[in-house]
Amino acid sequence: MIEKQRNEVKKSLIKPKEEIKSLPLPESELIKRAKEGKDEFFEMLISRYEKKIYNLAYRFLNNEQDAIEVLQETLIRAYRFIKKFQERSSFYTWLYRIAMNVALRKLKRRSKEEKVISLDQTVPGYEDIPQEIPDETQNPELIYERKELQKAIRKALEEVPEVYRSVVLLKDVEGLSNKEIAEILKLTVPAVKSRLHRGRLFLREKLKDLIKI
Amino acid sequence: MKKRKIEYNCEVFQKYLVEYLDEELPSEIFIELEKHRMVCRECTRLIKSLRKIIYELRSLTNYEVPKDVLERIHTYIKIKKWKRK
Repeated sequence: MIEKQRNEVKKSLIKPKEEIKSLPLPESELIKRAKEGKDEFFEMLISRYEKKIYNLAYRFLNNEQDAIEVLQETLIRAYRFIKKFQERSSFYTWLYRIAMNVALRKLKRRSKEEKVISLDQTVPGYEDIPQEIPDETQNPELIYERKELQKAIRKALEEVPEVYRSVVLLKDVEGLSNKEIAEILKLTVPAVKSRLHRGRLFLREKLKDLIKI
Repeated sequence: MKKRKIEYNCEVFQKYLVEYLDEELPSEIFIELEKHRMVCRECTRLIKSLRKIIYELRSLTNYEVPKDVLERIHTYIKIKKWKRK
């Protein structure tokens, strides 16, 4: 009987092989194996950030097609240059830097092209954005107000001048530190703070009628 | 020479706004700014509205990456690798 119990305890302590296999590997390990040319590990590594890069690009460029292209180019560049990643910064700082460079280049190219106005320009459709399931116990009026505010914030973000927008997105949407943003955008920390300050005040001005304080 | 005492007014409050919101200020400066904020309606409104905006920015719903896009990118990477071999 005691032997049986002991075996059961042993069983519960030892993880089955399959479970160990499916455990998430630490990022440093994924980077190491990706650098060795093992594609499946590169894919595991970038799968953690694909959605974030896409959203960052979408919010920065306000266009779905451009966001797709930025995501594509960022991942391809990361794949090509992973061996050159020296790990002096975190992987996501490195990846965000690639994405922001690609996005900024796209923005510059677009501003040149926009001298000829295209009638086919895609405008992000807010109706298509999956919304969070509202808490039914909340006041419907509050839910409506919140939805309107979120919609207005998306719209206001589009209008923030690009130099401030990139910083606001990285800080207030992505939650990066000022130091990380400085690394990504090749700015000094005081410059990041200054742009953040201006960007936030710009948003406040745009949203003053909606924010009832 | 005597050190000039800083007067903590709206202008100084604005100067430290980013650090104030990030809670990165040395306690002595934070206390002085708080003293000002407590008597200043404008600065209180400024902080409240910015906190609300930051909160809403943090909780923005994400755009979904179109399903076929990732598949296409991964295939593209594989083809690139195959071509390089």
